[in-house]
Amino acid sequence: MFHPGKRWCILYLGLILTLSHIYAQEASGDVASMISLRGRVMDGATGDPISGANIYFPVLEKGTSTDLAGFFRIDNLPSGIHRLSVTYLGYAPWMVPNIVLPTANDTLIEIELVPTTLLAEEVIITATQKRQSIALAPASIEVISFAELAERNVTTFDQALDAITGVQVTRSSEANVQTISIRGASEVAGGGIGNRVLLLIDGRPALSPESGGALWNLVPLAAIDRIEVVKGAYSSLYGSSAMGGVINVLTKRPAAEAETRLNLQYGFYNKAPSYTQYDRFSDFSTLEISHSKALRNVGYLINASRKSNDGHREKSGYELYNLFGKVSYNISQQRSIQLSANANLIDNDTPATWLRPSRPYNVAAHRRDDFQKRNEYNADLIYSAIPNGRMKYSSRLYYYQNYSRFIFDTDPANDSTNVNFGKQSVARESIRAQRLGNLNQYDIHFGNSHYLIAGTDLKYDHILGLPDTVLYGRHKAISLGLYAQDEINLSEKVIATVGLRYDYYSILNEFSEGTFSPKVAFVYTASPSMSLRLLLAQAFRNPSMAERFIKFEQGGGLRFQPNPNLKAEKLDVSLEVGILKKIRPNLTLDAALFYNHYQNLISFEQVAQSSGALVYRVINLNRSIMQGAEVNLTYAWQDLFEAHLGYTYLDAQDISENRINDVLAYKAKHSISFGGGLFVNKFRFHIDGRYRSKIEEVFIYSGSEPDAYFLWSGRLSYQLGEQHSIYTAVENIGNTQYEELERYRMAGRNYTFGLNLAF
Amino acid sequence: MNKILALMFTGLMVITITSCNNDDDQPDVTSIKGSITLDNEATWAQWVDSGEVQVTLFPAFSLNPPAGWGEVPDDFFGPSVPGGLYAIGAPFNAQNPVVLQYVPGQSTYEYDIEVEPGTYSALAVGFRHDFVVDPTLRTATLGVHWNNENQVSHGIEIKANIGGGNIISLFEFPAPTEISVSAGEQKVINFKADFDFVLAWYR
Repeated sequence: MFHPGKRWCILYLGLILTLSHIYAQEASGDVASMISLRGRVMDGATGDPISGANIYFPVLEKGTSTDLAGFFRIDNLPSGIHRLSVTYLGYAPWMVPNIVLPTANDTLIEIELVPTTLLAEEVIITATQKRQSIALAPASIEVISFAELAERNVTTFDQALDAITGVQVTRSSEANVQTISIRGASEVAGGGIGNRVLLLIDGRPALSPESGGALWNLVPLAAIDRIEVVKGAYSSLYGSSAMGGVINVLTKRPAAEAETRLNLQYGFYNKAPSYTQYDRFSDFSTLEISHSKALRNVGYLINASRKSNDGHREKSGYELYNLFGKVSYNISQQRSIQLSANANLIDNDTPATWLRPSRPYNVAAHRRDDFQKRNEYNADLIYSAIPNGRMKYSSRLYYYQNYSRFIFDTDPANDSTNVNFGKQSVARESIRAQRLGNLNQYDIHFGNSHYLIAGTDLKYDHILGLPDTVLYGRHKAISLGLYAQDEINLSEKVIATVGLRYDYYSILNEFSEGTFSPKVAFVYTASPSMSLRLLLAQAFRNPSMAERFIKFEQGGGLRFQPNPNLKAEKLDVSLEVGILKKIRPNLTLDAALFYNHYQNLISFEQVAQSSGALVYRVINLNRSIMQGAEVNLTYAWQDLFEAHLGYTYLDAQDISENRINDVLAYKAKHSISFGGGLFVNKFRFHIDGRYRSKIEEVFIYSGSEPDAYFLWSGRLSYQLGEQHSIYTAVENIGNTQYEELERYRMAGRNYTFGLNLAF
Repeated sequence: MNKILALMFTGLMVITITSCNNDDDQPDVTSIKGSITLDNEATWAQWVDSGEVQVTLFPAFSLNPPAGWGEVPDDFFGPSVPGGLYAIGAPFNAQNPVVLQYVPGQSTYEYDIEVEPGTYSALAVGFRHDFVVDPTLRTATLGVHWNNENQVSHGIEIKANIGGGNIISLFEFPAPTEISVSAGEQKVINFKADFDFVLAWYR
């Protein structure tokens, strides 16, 4: 019998081979001219070609731009001495007042542009899968650079996102991020379930196949080059889960010069308030070493780290070992291949709710020896080619294997994870999840008016959750996404982007579903200092295996009725209008109004039971809206001072039938983030702060809704020469006692000391 | 430049000074305590190895989100699904219920629960079976605090749809009494329970 999965596979391979054949030929580009100048523009730091760079002879009034391979050619130039400028956003201009034009035909010159980080000229790739200025991107975007990360006291990846306006991180302990939400999108349901933000690592989806939760621990913090946060519905490019936005972590490329970095960090927590009767001393430490080098066509980067944390309260500690490596090889100037791999070994406590309000640092006795062991591995092979100046092709093959074991107390008095409605019925659980993925993308530049990208996205998942009386057993799934997007220059001031993606998802022999995700966007450059944007899109999320098949809450607590036919939830209207304005050369405003209407929202429903016991089922239940406004201000004064201030207002309501003024759980109506840095001589001083208003509704412990909180932290560093620095930092300076998730007390004030060395 | 440097260090001093404040205000907590008089405590002797007797307090009742103990209307959980009276959310003291230890011949037991000021929908004592896997049957409510401290109410109304539009009541008892606790108030509540209810519940 011909299996439908095989038919898809053959069709898919046929498509790849056909397209590869069509675009595999390189252009000869050999046009004769009496006096002509050919050249190539490259990134001075990485050696990558820069496409779209402007080459201009102002006196001659002749110019052109580079193609996708970074090449350019200008014909009919008079020989002699001329002024030449080469410019591209994100790079320092390359100006030569007296270039001597070669008299021989077809002489090739090479130009290396140096990246710069001028305000409002940041360059991103996530919004359209194409390198572009933030001002021309049809989305609200924030970027955290490596330099900005270095200014702040960031020890885990989620902390890097705390400063982003509209991003809300909900944690139950230091190593357990329940969810990261952009403008309220994600649910808080444990294990990352209900995550509506797509995490990408170097453009590769990094979501756990069984729960759909983001694999935050796989992000090698010291190897981050920058983080791009794109807010808004982006399923039209990225498929499932990109409903609230996309977080793309871009890791560093191997440095041209050999570089070794060593980061040492030690810290400890302030003593808990005396009323808590918790007097344990808890500390944490990080050791991180990385080495990077490029040799001719080969470059490599290796990063190893160990992080250990006692946890500020009971059941919040962890120990993490991470090894990340990347090797790149330039086969030719137009073709390269890159292999990266990552391994994580994590031992961490299973977080538990507090014992009672006056003992928020303690957990119930029977929870004290519950813990988790997680082994996470992934590998990613990327091949990219620029066959000619109008075309780019990339293909990647990636693999994830995550193996998690949960060890519970075998004491019969042990309890469920959250709710005291059932004793522990299992002593151990395990989840083994594997994903094999393939991404292919073609970029085609049609003159100056169209930039077309098209791609395929294939995933195969194999999940085994044991015991299957509690978890979800064995399931296999396949998904195929086909997408296309055209960026159209309608005029000098208006850029339109239209895109469409189709996703087919099938749990083999059980369920299948197809989803379309369209998008249309406009960016109007009203003046050199102001752009207006509009994004109208649809997005979706496929329910995870956990949501479909889970039978009991982790540890055997709450009972769930499996729902294998759960459908994808949809964001059927996502509308954003925004403005990016440079009020002054050093002051930039980004403001947006957003409206998101969800349908078939995946939610938890209590199922009727004659005894009234708590039994839940995951269903397509609600219609809801999440709408609001966001303002972001950034200011920089020379190299001495910088500051940012962001505010998000969120109105999140369940508007299903019979619901009136019903707020959605775990959404904060007001959130503010701010930060500033002062850089004097060899001292660098940085302050960050954030405010979140009260959570009005929670899911499990009604009546224990987390209060509003305000946190601020400071960091002072001193440069020891050009390469080395020492620093000290205080987090939660006000020692605010607060919760992000009900009954999980977060860390109070804590102190960190660190040393960064580079050779 | 020196002014900026001075400003920076002033900022650092502010941080240091504010860091000296070590203690936070204690959360506003008080307690509900009292005694539970247990009828048929002799039956407990036969069940003592099968589970625990726990005293739990339930937060204010709400249908959306489901919380507390209260009257669930018909059809709330779906068409033709009868309503009833029972808990639809986790107890306030889920992680630290008061566990009563069996003492032969003793029928009155003391309890003390730390609470935050507010409104609670029910105070109950239940028998939680260790060996019953089905969570719908796991806890038998031996008694709740209600308007009469000298009589037992199990506080539940359980109805079943037996087909043909006929609904019967399997259990029907008076509702628990709502409890309001203000800051600093020490609430004393005594109530009665009957251990023999396990015989009906697990029949």
